[in-house]
Amino acid sequence: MNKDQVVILDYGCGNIDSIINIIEHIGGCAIASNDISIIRQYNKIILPGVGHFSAGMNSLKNSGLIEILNEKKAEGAYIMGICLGMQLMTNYSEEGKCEGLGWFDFETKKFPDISPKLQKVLVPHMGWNKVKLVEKECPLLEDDNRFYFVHSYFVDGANKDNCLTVSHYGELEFASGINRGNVFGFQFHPEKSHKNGMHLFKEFLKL
Amino acid sequence: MAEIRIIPTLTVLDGGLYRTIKFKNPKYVGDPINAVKIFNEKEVDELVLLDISPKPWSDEDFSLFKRISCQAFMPLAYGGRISTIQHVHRVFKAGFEKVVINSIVTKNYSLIKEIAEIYGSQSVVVSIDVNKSLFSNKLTTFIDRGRKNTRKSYLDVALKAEACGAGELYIRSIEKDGSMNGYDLNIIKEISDAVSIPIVAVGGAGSLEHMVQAVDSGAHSVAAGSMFVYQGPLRAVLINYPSRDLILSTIHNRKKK
Repeated sequence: MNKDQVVILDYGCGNIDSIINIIEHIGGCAIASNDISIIRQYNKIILPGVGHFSAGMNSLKNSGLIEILNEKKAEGAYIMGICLGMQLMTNYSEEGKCEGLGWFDFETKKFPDISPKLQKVLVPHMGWNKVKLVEKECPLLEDDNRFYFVHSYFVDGANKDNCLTVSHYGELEFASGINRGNVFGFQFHPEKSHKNGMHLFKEFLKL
Repeated sequence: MAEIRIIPTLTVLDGGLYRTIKFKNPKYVGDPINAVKIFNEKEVDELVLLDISPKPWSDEDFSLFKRISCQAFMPLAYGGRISTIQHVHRVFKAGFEKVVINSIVTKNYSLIKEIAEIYGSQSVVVSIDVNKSLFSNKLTTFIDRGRKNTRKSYLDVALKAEACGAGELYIRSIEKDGSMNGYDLNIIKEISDAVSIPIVAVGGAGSLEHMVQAVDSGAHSVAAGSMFVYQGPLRAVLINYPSRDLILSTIHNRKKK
């Protein structure tokens, strides 16, 4: 399998077409699949996701995709979680009080609708926001770029180990990107973030 | 906080891109695919496609919507001709992630709830079109592309839409549509004081200064049609969008009064 070939897990919870569109636009090749024998052939996997955490986790389970994900992760395949896909990689989410894949020692929590300074906060966090690299250089991202976000829950891991990027909303700092070895998770939607998103996918294809 | 979004709205009729004045006299201004490509290059914050065709959807319509969504690497909303949850499923399948509903709202508020439960409240936008009644100066809520006066108060509609789970409200003044002389700030202020969901000001923008006025009146984001397709006093068609630097200095980093 070539480096620029990506499989997107089709487990019924994702904005898959727009991810395929952007990867094809930058010259890569992406397919959507829930077939384990196909997924096994790929070294680049995207775990998309929109919607409810426990629904997402159940769909992953019911499609029998958790084993193959763990197998590919152990093999060193590059795996990218987007939005709910990133949250599923954490230990636990308050959304549906449900356990995740446990790849990152973080929890996914609901945005409070009142800030520490008692200001009203609009939830979901929807719109463009800055993404700051925590310290290490990351091949996929430049520091302080803008990306598009839509989420009501956040990964509570800002500045902890394996936190790649942070963003701010309602005076709260959250992990907008996480990375551990060959696994990446992004809270924002690179497929909806113009050139910064294209850059991210381009660099992912080069890994 | 999330940034103020500056949103071009594309009015589409029978596969072409049109601009209206007070929702009337649609004038052809070009090919929507081409416009989307240009807006993509200009890295717009979000795009809204407003479909004003009176006919039912055809397969050609959907092939156009799909071609548009394939070109759009930004958040994308679709409004027009939606009255059932099946319509909504179809729009999302075509690659959009928000729907804008209007005429159906005052007849069936439960559709808002239904969409919010399946796709999340951020994906359901309620557009409230406000205009003067024919025989009085009273401003009320209009539907059916501005043709029908529901005689309902726009504040009531806004509050009901919020209670049913709408994620955002587009507040459009029909009187201001295509005027390019500024939004109706009173309506924006009145509604934004009453609800706590984000409001997008639509109708009347001709400059970034108008957008600043709307934001200062309580809009969380601003949309415009004519401003982004016309250039100069003679309204020459030229797809345009302010540069990032100009947006930053005029809107995001402006000194607040």
